Amino acid sequence: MRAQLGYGLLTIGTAAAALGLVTTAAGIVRKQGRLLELGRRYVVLVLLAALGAFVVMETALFGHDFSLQYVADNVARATPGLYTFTAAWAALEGSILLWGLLLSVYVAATAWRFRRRADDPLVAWATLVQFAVLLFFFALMLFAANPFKQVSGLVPLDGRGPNPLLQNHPLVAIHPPMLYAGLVGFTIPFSFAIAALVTARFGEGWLADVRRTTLIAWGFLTAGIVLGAWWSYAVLGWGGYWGWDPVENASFLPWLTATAFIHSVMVQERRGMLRVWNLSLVLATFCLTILGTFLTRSGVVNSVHAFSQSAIGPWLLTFLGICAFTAVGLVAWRGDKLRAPGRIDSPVSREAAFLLNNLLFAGFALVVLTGTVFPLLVEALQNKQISVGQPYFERLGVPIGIALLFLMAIGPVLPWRAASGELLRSRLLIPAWAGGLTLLIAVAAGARGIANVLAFALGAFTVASIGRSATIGVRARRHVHKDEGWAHATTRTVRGNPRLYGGLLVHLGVVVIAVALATTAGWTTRRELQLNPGESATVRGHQVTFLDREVDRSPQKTTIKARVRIAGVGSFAPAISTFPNAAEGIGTPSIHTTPWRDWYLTLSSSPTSGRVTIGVQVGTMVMWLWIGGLIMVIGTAVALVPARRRRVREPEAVTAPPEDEQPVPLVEVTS
Amino acid sequence: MRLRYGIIALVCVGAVVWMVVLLQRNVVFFKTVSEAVHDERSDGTRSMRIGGGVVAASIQRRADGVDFELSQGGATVRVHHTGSEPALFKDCAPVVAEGHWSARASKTFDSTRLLIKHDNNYEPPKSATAKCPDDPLGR
Repeated sequence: MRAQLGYGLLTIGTAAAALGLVTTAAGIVRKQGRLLELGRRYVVLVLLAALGAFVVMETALFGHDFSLQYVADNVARATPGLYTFTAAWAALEGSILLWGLLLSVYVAATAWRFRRRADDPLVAWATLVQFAVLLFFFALMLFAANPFKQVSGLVPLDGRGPNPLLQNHPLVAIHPPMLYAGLVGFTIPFSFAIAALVTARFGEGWLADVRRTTLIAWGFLTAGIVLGAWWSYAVLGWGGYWGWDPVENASFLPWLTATAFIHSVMVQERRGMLRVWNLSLVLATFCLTILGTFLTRSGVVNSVHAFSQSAIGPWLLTFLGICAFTAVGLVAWRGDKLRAPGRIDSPVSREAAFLLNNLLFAGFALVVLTGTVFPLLVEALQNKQISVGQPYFERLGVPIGIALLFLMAIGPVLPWRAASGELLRSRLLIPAWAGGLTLLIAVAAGARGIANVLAFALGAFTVASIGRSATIGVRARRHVHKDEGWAHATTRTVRGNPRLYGGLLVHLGVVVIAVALATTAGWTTRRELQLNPGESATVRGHQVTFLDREVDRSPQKTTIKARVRIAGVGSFAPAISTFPNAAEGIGTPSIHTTPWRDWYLTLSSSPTSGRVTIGVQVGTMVMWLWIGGLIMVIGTAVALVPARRRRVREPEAVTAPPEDEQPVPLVEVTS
Repeated sequence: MRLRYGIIALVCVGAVVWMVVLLQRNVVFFKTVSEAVHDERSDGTRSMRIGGGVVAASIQRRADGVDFELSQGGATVRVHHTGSEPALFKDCAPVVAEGHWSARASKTFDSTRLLIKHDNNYEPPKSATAKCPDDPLGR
């Protein structure tokens, strides 16, 4: 029953996407607004079909409808409610369904936003591209990865349950949807970029149209990546959070190009330059998300994320080929029309900083892409299995990261066009002192490694420079509105230019993450202890005692816990759980987190009696990685708030500059 | 102006060359134990990953790591691992060791990183057998 209903809904979705595509195409060819309007309505049908199919899937999961292959494979009667819900994206078919649903939401929201501009050729072409992408993903479900496939033969009495790694931590409920909401969102800027190329409308209009969607998608992707690192830390038990695993790289690649775009788009808005570049970044971001889906979902790479493998590889590869070919072809075709007016006047200017920032982000993306795809190429061409060692990514990624941190420190205070020495001196004086002092303190405190020391110094530099910009903004406001308190004036200042202050907040989050990366890299100790019950060992001056072991049995899993006491820290219970559906058990680390120290205990071997091996890792400031991510997401949200329009009666501008400041705003971001 | 572009081009080319050099240096070949033993002489002490199954009752833990035997396809090597061991490292476990052939003795592999090769297929646990499966990597 559910199989037919779900499959029917998917068919309706596919048909609606196809009809929308054809109608919109006809509307474009015949230049009939009525057809375009009609075509646009199919979006609603696609959205309803996707939503319906997703609901059917959830009811099947909760109803333990094991006549569906997907349900039988991913849920068992003993699976707790949360993991039954998340099982909807625990394997390939379901995750494509979630992908399709999120894509329809984005497309529907875009259609709603441009409802008054449906007959604008730019919007019409964008809608066409969106329908094409929708059609691809619906057809994928219909023909290659049907989530509603029925089991062959007898309906099993119980299902297998989700992969053990996917029923062990609640983060599984938010990490994948966040990541998908990010990756899927880049379809919208992609569609507008294609539309701009086709209609030859390279004015800055289309950029303004997609700026908000790009930022939303970027915010989700950032959240998804940070949550993924957290999941890796809290679940996988290796004590790390980022391993340059192909699948981690797959989510990081579009993030890099999207971040480059978010910056360089300001140059185009302000100066009309970098048009080809911006278009290419948008197109590349989308192609990289498809490449990422291919890497993650087709089973070509062996990684912790290869939860499900199937025959959708060729489909995705073909789609990737079509997208990349179209994109490159269009850019080449329109190349001569894309020549932008204006050029960079001085190497010490905001636009030059943005350009360098973009080169670094693009270079970073090239490094990661090469390291990720190279093993696949070697295996395909020479049939040899190789991997690219982490040192490759670290030796190249760290200098690029430091250079980006440096640009983040000085970029926002550079003026457009050209900077005078005096201006720079006044703006960089305090931050430079902050950076220099921090550098000395860090070295005195025992920071080792150029990269770590620089991360602290540049972090302090950036924070001081952000603090200075914000203080001056608020002071200027209070200079005009003398009756306002500090808190009120701060809120008003931020509301007056959310894009600027949101951006600075994101930068602050990046600094927090950079500092946390440096401290975790520089101050982490790891020890392996072999202890009999009652025995103790000393780690970092704390006595670690293995008390005893405890066995928990439930229908979902059997857990062996080692009860450990660390004097002055607390009680721990690292565990190994075995699930009925998997031969190998999985470890669950036991973590004690404070803002300064993380005690991270793992159980390495679990004989039912006698000596155990316990891994003890003491990390420094790990928590700030997640806090930094949170700040970045909040900053993105702030940047999305519409700027408050000035009321007419309010004084138009700052009449008298604050005492030590030129009237030029420090950081200008056009909105 | 032309000079500036020249410098930029030079920096970019240099960066790409550096990238390729680092890539070549960090390529790690994966070999099964039998392949690795076959190529031992030609590989010298270059870094690579070898995969096989942990020989039953061969694990000996040291203060700074673990010694064990890894076998596959009829070949067996002695692994001298320094560092932490992964969760569920045990007899018969399918293991990938990253490191290089030891300069001290033949058929001895110095490992710096151990990974359990997780099985993607959810097979219900079979009855415990004394002997490890023949093909630990499931290939």
